[in-house]
Amino acid sequence: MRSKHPKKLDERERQLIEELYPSLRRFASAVRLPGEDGNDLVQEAFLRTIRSRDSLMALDNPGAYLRRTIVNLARDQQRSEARRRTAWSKMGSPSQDLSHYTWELEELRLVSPKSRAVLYLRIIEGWPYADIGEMLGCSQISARVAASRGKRQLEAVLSKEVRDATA
Amino acid sequence: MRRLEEVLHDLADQDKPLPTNELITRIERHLSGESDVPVVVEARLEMDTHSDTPRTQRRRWLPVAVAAGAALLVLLAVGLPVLFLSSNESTVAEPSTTTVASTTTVAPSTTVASTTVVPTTTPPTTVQPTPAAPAEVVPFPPSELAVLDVPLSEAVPGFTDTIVMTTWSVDGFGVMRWRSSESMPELLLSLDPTGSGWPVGLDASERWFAQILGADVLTVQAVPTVPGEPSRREIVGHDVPNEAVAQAVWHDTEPGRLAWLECPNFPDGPTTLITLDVSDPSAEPIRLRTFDQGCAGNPWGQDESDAAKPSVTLERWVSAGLWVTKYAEDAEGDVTWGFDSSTASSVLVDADGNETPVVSGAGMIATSPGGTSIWRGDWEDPCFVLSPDGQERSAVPGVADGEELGQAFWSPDGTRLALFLNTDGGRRSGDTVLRVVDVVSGEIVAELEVEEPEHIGPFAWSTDNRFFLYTPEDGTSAGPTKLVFYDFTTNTTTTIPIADDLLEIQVR
Repeated sequence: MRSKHPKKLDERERQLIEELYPSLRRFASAVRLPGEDGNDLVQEAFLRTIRSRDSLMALDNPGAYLRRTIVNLARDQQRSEARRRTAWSKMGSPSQDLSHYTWELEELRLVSPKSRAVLYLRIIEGWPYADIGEMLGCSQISARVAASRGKRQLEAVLSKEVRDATA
Repeated sequence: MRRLEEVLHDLADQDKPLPTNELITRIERHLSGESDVPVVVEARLEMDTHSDTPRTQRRRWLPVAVAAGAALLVLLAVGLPVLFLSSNESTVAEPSTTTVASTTTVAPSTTVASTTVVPTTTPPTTVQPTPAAPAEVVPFPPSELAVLDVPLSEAVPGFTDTIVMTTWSVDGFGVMRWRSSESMPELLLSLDPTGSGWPVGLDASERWFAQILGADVLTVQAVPTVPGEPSRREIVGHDVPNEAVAQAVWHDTEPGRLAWLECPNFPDGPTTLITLDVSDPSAEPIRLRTFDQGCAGNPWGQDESDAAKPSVTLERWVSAGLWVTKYAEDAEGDVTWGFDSSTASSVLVDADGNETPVVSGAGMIATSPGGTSIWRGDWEDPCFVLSPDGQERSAVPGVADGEELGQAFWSPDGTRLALFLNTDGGRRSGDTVLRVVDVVSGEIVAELEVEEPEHIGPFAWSTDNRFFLYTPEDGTSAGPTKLVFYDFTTNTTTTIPIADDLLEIQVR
């Protein structure tokens, strides 16, 4: 479906982008895959939203809608990445295996985008699980499980960091 | 937890900000169709100006990709395994390192209104031996959740119910029962080591437990008579390709009565509503009726599209029938839910599958155990107490101007509502008030302010309406760390420390 949106953003949309961008960039950076850039996700999320809804101003809660779109985009990237890895593997060549990312922050990105999104929204932005569930299009309990799972996975990486430091 | 917060900040700060006008220019260029390059690809080409680590990594992988492709061609042409190995060796990227920018964040202090904090003992070091279990059953130490010095009924005077709790860990779900006569909960079931299941919970008799597995299969298993005893689960919802069990509920009061929604071609419609009496070994599933709409997302929220589709959800199963909410397209052809406008209606489906419209409009519907309901519109709209036929009885008392009702939960006798309110018109932490109102008199019975950064996690009423149990969560933790009992007769609270794996609590 082609957008009915004009080629230029109007002043209200520009202001909204300026207002939302800083928090969305940090959120996208937290949930993106290794080797990607959160700015790309933010840009794509804005574009998809404008094209599908014709205007950012048509949304009751654009910040929540865009966060959800960012998580969906990150998941799409994750699936594409998985397919790429499978293809490389079938070709008998070394895949772009995430295990090659040995540094800590990239290792943390092995935790699923959804879990990282929930943890970020919960711990950094301070949203209740009910709102996080609404934002990400899942139930409150699903958000809780994602947080619990992500927390344990992240803590496992962090405890490894401690072990390495004290070895 | 502090370290976790730090690394989340580090992740969030890893990508350098773009000037906002550059972002706007990019968006407008794509809107005008000037760029034929897909957005993400173009952005990657430009990323070198604002991202260090990914650029380095990509440059390392460029020759890797070229070498791997060349190696494949050679392999196909010559077919020598030696070259295959050589190719592998030549394309292994060197590991890179990066320095983590550590952010120091002071964890905000937390305050909970409480008069009594019950001391816990050190969990016993010897755990009851668990018999050899089949693959789906794993030991789940009951001591992880809470251990008191005294029985629960002594720690919380007047509390005589049993609490059923669903917990979660990387080992799977745990179902625990805490009788008021005991000082610690007992393990009923531990399930699904892969963690891919979705707990439906225990039935009214606590004899059966249902869950939806990750493959959209609905299973039921009997609760063993001895805690921790293995229990075999049986599939009751179909495991058919492209067909999913999206949601299930137990009957509020009738033992063993289970209802669920199945969707062929998930998540698109139609949806079939099915019931089964699992207490009757000879009973077959009854396909009560179908709906044109699809299932509303799957339990894990793995919806693939940005916009929701027309859908149905099961609210609860009460004596009057099954409450089902249907979401339809609005005038603009959009169907969204949660944070946007939607067109919803609630219907009551009886035992013969007949549908009675109850409420229509946007928003959320909460049904009391007796079948009374509350309806609200969008966040800002007024909220009404409704009679069972959907007629507005009165506005929900206790909601002041500027306050937004987040959730509302009926007491078992249907006379009181626990309201979760945001007091500044926003939907952020620090603004949550838990207010209990008497819907008959309109009086505010109790008000508990949950101070920043706390939220309220799982909660429940006691069966005698005397206590409200809730779980404040520190904003810097992923789960609740205490269980609070508010006693309406004494206006006091008792706090019991718990582990942070609690997903749900029910009081029986």
